Amino acid sequence: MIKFMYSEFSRNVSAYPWRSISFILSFSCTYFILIFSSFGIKNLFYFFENATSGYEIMIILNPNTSELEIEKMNDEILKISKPSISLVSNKPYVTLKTLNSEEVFKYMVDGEKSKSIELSNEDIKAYVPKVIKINFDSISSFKKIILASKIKNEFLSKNKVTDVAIPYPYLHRVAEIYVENRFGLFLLMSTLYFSVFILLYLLLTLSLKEHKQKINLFRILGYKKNIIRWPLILEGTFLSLAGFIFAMSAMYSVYLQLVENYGAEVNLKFFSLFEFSMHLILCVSIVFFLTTLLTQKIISDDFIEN
Amino acid sequence: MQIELKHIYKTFPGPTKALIDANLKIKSKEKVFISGQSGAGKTTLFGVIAGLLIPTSGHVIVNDKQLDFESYSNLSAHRRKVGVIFQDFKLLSDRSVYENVTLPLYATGKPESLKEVDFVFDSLGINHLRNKQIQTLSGGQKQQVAIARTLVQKPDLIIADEPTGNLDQKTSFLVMDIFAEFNNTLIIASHNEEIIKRYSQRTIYIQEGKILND
Repeated sequence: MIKFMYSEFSRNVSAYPWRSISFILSFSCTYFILIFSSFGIKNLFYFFENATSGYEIMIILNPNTSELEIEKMNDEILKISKPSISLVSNKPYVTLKTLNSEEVFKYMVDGEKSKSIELSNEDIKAYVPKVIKINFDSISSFKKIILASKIKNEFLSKNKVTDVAIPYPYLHRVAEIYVENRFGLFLLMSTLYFSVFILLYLLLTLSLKEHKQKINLFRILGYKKNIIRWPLILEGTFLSLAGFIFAMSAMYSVYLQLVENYGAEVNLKFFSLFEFSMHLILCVSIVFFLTTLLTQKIISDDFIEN
Repeated sequence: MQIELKHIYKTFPGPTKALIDANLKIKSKEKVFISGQSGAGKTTLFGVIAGLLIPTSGHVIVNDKQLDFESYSNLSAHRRKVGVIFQDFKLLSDRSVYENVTLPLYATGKPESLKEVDFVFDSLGINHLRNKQIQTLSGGQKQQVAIARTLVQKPDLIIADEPTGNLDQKTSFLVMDIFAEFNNTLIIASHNEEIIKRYSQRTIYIQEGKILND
């Protein structure tokens, strides 16, 4: 039985080499989309993580400012306290608070933490900091970029600062898209993956339709379901596997080129062996599952009547 | 194999009724000819008997046991006992004659002895075609290969739809002689009056889906 099924499988693959090649290429394209999207997402995360490590903005205050308010920042109303003086280091600092006094950032002047004390106006004027550094390390990489961008805009629009130095200013749009349109992105990715799923479904349906005459005859001759099904499942899995390896090889070549040309500027992360295995298992499983489902459907359909 | 049809109706999408209240009993080892014009319902009747078409209503009783059209395993077991020779031969064009003829032997996954195959090739005189590809054969040769495939199956019932339609007279009689020697039930559709007269034990006439006389 195994010998027969193997001969059927190898016949299916080798008898129509162009069909097999076109299927391998189609599967490759499908996997390329899947792999490329996950590679892209992974690198986006790594990029934000690296780019925003130790992320801080520097605000150069207007010398006459003693109190600053930032409104409607990330749906919260924030307030920068009056500058205080550190008891330990004897240096000034401010804190950023929400109106209900929940502390969200500490603006540490010269990077030191200390207990705040209220000062008289005269004292304040004497100790108003010229530069405030805001450290965002406690916030997720996407959110910190958006907040930094908003803080910068608020400060500049109210003309209370002379300048705001912000690293990677161009990144905030990407981060905004990710954070604010997360649902849209999820929808987009779902649509992409769904399309890939449909593409695979159609490819396999087409392949099985090509075998219709043979399946029909096997049914007429009283073949058992498993004997009809397994060579087709093997064929689907084999072509899918070949397509996956082809796509991975192509992707890896592109990756090597990228590393060679842009590796010094951008940190590109490829799949680890574990992730590669997971992708392989996932992709081949999808094809295996679809082939089984479709073969079952075709065997169950009354093909002979049609 | 004994076959009994009880009140079989078969309709296809559209107004046509292919079989109307078909009642028929064919005893084991009986040789029956079915005659009727094109479109009378012969092929549909064969399909129902062979378990290839599900009747709209009615029962098919095989060896006193009702055929269960819902169960694939039951149907495939029935199909393995029935050899069908189609008008369009239903041969796989990407395979050789030998591969086509041996196909029924793999139906259960455990091929039986291939010795029978040589005997069938010799009987039909098609040994020279053994390694040829199907697409290189003439209509008559394809007919012979289809017949060989059915004989290799060693079925309990052979259903042949115009088995001599593409054959010359000499080969037609050769094939019919082989069928006559077949020691089981045989149902043949034929327009050939000479063959019917010469080989028929019983002839059933069918017209517009109804079995007229028996």
